[in-house]
Amino acid sequence: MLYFSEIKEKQVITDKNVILGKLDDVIFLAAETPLITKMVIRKRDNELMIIPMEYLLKFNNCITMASNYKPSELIENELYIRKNLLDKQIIDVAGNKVIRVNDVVIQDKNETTFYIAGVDIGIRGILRRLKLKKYALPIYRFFRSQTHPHYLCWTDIQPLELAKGNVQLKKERTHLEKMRAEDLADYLEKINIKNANHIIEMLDEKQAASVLGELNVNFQSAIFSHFPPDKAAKLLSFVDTDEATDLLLSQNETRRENILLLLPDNKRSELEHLLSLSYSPIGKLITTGYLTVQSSETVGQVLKQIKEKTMNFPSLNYVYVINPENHLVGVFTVHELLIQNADEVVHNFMIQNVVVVHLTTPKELVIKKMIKYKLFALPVIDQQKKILGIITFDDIAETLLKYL
Amino acid sequence: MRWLQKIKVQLLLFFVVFGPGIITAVADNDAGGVATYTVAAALYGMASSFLIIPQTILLAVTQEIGARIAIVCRKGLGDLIRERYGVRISLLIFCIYFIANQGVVLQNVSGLKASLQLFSFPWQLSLIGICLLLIVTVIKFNYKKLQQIFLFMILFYLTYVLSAFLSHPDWGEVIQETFIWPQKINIFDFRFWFSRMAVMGTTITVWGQFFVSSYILDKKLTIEHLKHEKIEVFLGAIITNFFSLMMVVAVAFTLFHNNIKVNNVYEAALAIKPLAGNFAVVLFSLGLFSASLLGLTIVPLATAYVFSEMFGTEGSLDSSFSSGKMFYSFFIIQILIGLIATLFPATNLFKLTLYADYINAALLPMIFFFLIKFSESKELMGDYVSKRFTSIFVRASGIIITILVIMTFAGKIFRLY
Repeated sequence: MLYFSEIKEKQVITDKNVILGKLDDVIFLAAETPLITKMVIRKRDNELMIIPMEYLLKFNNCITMASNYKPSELIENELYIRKNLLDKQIIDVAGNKVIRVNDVVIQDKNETTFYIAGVDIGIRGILRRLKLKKYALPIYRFFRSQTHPHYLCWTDIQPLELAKGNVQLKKERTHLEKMRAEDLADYLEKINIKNANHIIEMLDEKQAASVLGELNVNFQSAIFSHFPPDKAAKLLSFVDTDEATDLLLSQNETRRENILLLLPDNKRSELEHLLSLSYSPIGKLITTGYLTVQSSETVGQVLKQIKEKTMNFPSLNYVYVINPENHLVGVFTVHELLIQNADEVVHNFMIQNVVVVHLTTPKELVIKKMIKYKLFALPVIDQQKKILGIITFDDIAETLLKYL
Repeated sequence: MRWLQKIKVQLLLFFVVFGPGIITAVADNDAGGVATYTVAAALYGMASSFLIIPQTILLAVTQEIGARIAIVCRKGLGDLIRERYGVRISLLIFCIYFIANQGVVLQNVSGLKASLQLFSFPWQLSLIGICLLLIVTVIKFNYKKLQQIFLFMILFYLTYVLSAFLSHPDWGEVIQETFIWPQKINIFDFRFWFSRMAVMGTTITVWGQFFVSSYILDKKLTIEHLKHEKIEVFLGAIITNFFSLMMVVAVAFTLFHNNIKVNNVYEAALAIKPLAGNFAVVLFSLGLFSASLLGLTIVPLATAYVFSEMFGTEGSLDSSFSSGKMFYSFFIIQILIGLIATLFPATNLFKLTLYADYINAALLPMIFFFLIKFSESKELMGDYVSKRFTSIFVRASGIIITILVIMTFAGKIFRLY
C-alpha cells in the first residue's frame, strides 16, 4: 500500500540511468477499477511529460522506466490524481459536504500494476502531507487521543462524477461514520495479504477482531500468523469462541500453546474445551455462547440470568433447560419466555422434545435439521445428554453458501 | 407602463441578492474600526479620511472579485486555496488567519465592554450574557433569519450620522481636507501616513475578503444574480465609507478642533460629552455597541467558514449543530477566547489588538495575490475573468499596500515613531 503523498516528487530514471525528472502527477482510469495508466513527469526544465505505465520497470526508491518509452497524452475517461482527486471536496448523495480528500491510497497488484484503493480522509493524511506524522503521532498517543486511519473505499465513490470536479459518494454521510467490518473484510480479501496485514495492524484490537472474524479461513490464518502471541491472545478475547477455535487450529501446536497461555483463565478453559471437540466435522462450528437454566427456576430468575450472563453473546435465541444432573431436558425461545408471567416456573412452558445433534453428526444433517425444524441453533450433546455447545445458523450459513 | 414593470422586476431581483455585500462591508466598520477612526480623527481631523474615494473603490473592487469568484466557481476563497495550493499552504494561512481574526474578535469584545461601561451597566455579567445569547442565536437561527438581524443592526450605524450633525461640522472643511488636499496638518509627516494606513487596514480586511465569498456561497446565489450582486457590493462599499466618514466628522469637529488627544473609544466618548452634549454620547455608544456586536458575530463566522472550506466539513448557517459541528465549534471558540481574555483584567488589550492589526495587514497582500490569481484564471472563471481595470487597480493597490506594510513593520522595529 502506497500513499500518493509519498510517491510524489520521486525521482524518475530510465534503465540506462538517465534522469528523466520527478513524478508530478498520476493518471488513472475513472472507472469501477481505477487502474493507474500513466505517470506525469516534471522534467528539469519544468515541462510535463506523460509516460504510460507499460514502460514502468521498477518502482522502489526511484521509478525506473524503459528507455524506449514513448510519451503519450491524456485520453477520454482518464483523470489526474492531483488535479481531479487530491484536496477535492467529498460530498454525499444528498450533496452535503463530508470532508476533503487528504491523501490517495494506491494499491500495488504486482510490481508494475497499480490502482487506486481509496482515499484517506483522516487527520493522518494531513499529517503525512505535512511530513509531520513522525512527530505528531507520539503527541496524540500521549493524550490518548485517537488517530484511527480513516479511509473511504473506491467502491464508495462515484467515478463518473469525478470528471465534473466532484468527489461524490454513493451513500449518505450518516452511513459512513464507520465502515462495517463485513465490508472491510470483503475489501481486504480482494487485496493481497501483505496489504491486508498492514491495514489490520492500524485498526484497534476490537475492530481488528471483528474484521478478522469476517475473513475467509485462509486469509484469517495467514494474517493471524503474522501477529506476535500477546497481540494474538488479545485479539482472540474479542472474537466469538468458535472463530477463536478456528484461528487457533490454523496455527501449529507450539504457537497454539503459547497463545493459550496468555489468555485469561476462563477464556482458556473454554477454548481448550472447544479445541478438544474439534476433531469431529462439526466440532469446529461449536460455540459456547448459550445459556442453561434449571427447570425449577421462575421466569423472573431466568430474565435476571440473561441480563447477567449473556452480555457478551453474539445472539441469544434459545434458553436450554437442564436437570440437577446437567442433562438437557428442555428448551424455550426468548419469545416464549417474554410472554410468560414473571412467577411462572420454567418447567410449565418449556418444550421437552429437544432437537439435538451429536459430535458425530455430519454437517449436512445438521443443516437439514435446522431447516426442517426452523431452528436458529442446535445444541450438541454427548452420550450422557450433557450440552457441549451449540451450533448457530450463522456458522452453518457459510457452508450453505458453498452449495448454492 | 412597461418601464415601471421593468424597474419592479429589477428591484425584486436586487432584493434577492441583497445582504452579503452590505453586511460584509459595514461589518468592516466594527469596534476596531470605530476605535481606529476615532483615535486617528482626534489626531489628524478630517485629514484622516483623505483619499477616502480610492479607498472606497479598492474596497468595492476587491469585494467584487470575491463575490464574482464565489458566484462563478461556486467555491469560496478557502475552497480554492486548498484545491489549488494544497494542504500545507492552507493550514499555514488558516493558522495566521485564525490568530488575526482572534485579535479582531478581541477588539470587538472590548468594544462591547466599552459601550456597556458608557451606559454604566455591570459589564462583566452583561458581556457573558450577550456572548452566550449570540452563540445560541447563531446556532439556532438559519441564514435568512440571521441576515435579517444583521441588516437590522446596520440601521444603528445611522446614529453616527446623527452624531456627526450634532458636532456642528464645517462642511467646507470636510470637503477641503478629505476630498481635495489636507491643509490643517503636515501631510508629509510620516506618522500621518502610518495612521492613515491603519485606518485603511480596518476597512479593507482579510476576513472581509474571505467572508464575502463564503457568505454569498451560503446564500446559494447563481450566475444570473451576478449583475445585481455587483451593484450590491458597490453599494455596500459606498455606505460603509459614508458611515466611517460620518464617524470621523463627529470626532474631528469635537476632539480635533479642541486639540484633545485620546487613546481609545471610551476616552473619546467621555471627552465628547462636554463638547457635543449627552445625547451625542448616547448615540455614539449605541453605535459602538451595535458595531461591536456585528463584528463579534461576523468575524468568528468568517473564521468558521474558512475552516470548513479548507478542510471540507459541513459549514453553513442553515446546518444544524450536529452536522456542522466543526463549523460552529470554531465560531464558539473564537468568541470564548475573546470573552475570557477581556474578563481577565491583566490582559493588555490595546497591545494585543495592535499586533492583530499587523498580522492582518501582513496577510492582506497574500490574499490580494490569491484574488488576482483566481480571478484572472480563464480555467476557473471562463468568460468572467477580471477586466483590465480591475486587474491593474488591484495589482497596483497590492504593491502599494505591501510597501506600506513593510514600512510600518520597519517603523515598529526601528522605533521610527
